[in-house]
Amino acid sequence: MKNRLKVLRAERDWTQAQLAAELEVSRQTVNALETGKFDPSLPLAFRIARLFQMRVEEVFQDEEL
Amino acid sequence: MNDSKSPTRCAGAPRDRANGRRVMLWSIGWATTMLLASAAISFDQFGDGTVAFIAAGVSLIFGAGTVGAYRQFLNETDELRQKVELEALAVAFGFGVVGGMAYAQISRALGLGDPRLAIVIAGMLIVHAIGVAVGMRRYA
Repeated sequence: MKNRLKVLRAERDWTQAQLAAELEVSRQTVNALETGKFDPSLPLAFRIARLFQMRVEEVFQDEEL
Repeated sequence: MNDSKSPTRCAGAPRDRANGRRVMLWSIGWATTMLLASAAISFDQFGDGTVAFIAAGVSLIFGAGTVGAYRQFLNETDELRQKVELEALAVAFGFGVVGGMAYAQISRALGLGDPRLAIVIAGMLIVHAIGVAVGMRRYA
């Protein structure tokens, strides 16, 4: 699954640590999400989308589509 | 995002540290009471077994506390850490079952006597610790 997390974070000039704090996850989790090593659970995906005031599908895209 | 919200707002890390400390304290208590129970069983072998029974019961309570504390740690930790722990637990479980059985068969085949359960358990703990370290490194 692809995501635009790194771009969205950079647009807002946030650090990984700040984003991690907002999402209440570890900085390592944010890094793993950004590098595509780890896919979030549905609740975390919705939390991310809500934080960026976007829809889930605007943040995450299925690579097979 | 409000800039006044510092990274310390992240509930994950401090909560994980507190839960991790709880697991460690329960584990130390369990290991200590298990050693005391082993000693009590050795010294009480000609008695009626009451002291050994009580010591084993106390150790069992600390063991249950360790399991409960670890369960709480797993439930409340970050979801990436949950994935890392799950993978490490799977490898440790596999090591325990497959490695334990192989060890038992080799012990019997070579006439080394009964296999020691403590060796298998220690091996599982080591494999789990290595698995967590490797997982954390993989997702770093």
